[in-house]
Amino acid sequence: MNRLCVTGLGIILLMVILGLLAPLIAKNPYKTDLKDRLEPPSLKHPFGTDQLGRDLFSRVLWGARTSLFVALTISLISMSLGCIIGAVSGYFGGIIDDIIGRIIDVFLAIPELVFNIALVGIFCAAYGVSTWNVILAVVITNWVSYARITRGIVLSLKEREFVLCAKAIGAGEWYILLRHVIPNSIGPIVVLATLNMGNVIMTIASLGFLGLGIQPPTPEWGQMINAGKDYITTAPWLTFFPGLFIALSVLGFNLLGEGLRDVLERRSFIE
Amino acid sequence: MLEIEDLKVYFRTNAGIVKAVDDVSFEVRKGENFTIIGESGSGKSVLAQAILRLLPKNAEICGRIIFNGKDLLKLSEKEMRRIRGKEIAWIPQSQTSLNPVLNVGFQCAEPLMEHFRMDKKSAFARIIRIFEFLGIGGNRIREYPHQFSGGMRQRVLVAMGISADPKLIIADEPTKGLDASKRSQIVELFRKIGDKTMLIITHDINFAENLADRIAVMYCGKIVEVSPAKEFFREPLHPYSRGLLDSLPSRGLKPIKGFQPSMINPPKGCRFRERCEFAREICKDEPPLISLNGRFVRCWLYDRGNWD
Repeated sequence: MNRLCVTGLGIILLMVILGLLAPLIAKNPYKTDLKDRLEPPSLKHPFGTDQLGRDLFSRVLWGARTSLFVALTISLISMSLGCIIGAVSGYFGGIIDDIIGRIIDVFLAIPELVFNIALVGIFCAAYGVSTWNVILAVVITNWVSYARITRGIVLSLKEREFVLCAKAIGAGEWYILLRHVIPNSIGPIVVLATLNMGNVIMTIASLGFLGLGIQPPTPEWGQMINAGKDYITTAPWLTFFPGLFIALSVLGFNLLGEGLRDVLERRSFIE
Repeated sequence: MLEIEDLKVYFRTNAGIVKAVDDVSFEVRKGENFTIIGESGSGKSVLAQAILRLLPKNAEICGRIIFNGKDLLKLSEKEMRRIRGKEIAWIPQSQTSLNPVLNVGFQCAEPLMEHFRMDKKSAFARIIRIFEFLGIGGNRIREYPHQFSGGMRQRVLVAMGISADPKLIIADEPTKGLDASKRSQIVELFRKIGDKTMLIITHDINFAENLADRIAVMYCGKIVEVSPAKEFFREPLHPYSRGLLDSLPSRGLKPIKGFQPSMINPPKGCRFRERCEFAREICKDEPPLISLNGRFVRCWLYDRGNWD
């Protein structure tokens, strides 16, 4: 067993379990109690309470649900979109490839966070505030890396003999792409998706910190740090615990991604 | 069954035009095993892929490839797809021609599902029978290519080729990368399916000797000799054919001196003349195709009027 994989998977599983169990082990994350505001960590409130007297432990656990769910949604959508676009671009080549290639270049040229902020702003103005704005904005900047990687893999795969062999039995281009080429590129894409989950969690937290992400009172780590930063000298737990959870989950996905890369790339090296 | 007339395949590259196949004509008759031999880089594989129109887009193909009365070069891509795998099957070079992430049964069943709209279950049932016939073992149908040895993989490729019962099988170097004992097993395998019309491309002369009904010798993009196999191995006509046979370990291991010329700017006239012990002034002109007791040879040596 790969040690990186196991450690990463352990951290992620812990996060997922904590998130899933939130309704059972955590209290109501919205219930305010002004008598108990800014309490330090204690048995009653393991992570202390915030400026409105809400239990921070409960909010962090519910925050895991928000972050993981939103990050997963974003990753799945941008992965499917990016893979299909990249595969089509690499496989069919020609003018399609030129057009998609230039679009990818344009997207890569704009700093991701700046682009995200602009997009969230536009979507908020157009459709009003909602979590879908964040998802849509991050997907728009995120599919590019999947498209670029998939295109590269497909370019090399389509020269392989088994593609010629599939053509020789009379298979059509789309059939070959979907049945023979894409399944062969799954390995590196899974690695990218895992590493990318960490990035997406960071992006969601950054947007939340800037007040552009998921809006209060929904518990979300970045937004909790933003609220806690005014009390950083008197109540540092308000920023410490959400920050710790962001760091841990990003670490978990990065470790798992690195581990998977070791495993999958060693295998393809042998082949 | 398959007639090839004046086939030319040129590749445009930055270094110039590569004439991989130049003015090739031959005919494969129904039921026979027609084998093309020649050294690496003589254009054999390109010829095979040109017949199925599998070459990359920078290849220019002209001439005629007539299969059962239809000129394959005139068909649309869609019509061509109905020929590939169903009418003409291609058995590719071994090792990397199987998709590593699909099981072998599925890959062998693909022609059946593609051309006959068979469902997976009945296609697999048929593939199991073919596997058992070829000595692979029907229980291995759900295994993946990396679980097979080189010789077994070659059998799987043969199974894939014959699964849709094609009228013509083109096998491209079926013994490439296999050791001597595996090669003899592949000879047995091809004997088993010997009632089919086959076009075999190989540089393995022993393999050709064991299987072929007729032999064509290809040198530098040209076919220099076409002969019935028995007569060919008893008395090769073209000086290159002689050199090729004399270079075999069993016949003295005498290599042909010199190197095969580049296909970008091949010498004018006979392309073998720079390495040929009989070469004369007249060889600087393109040699004619001379018919001799049912055999064909492209060499001035047999043009009585001009040589003597």
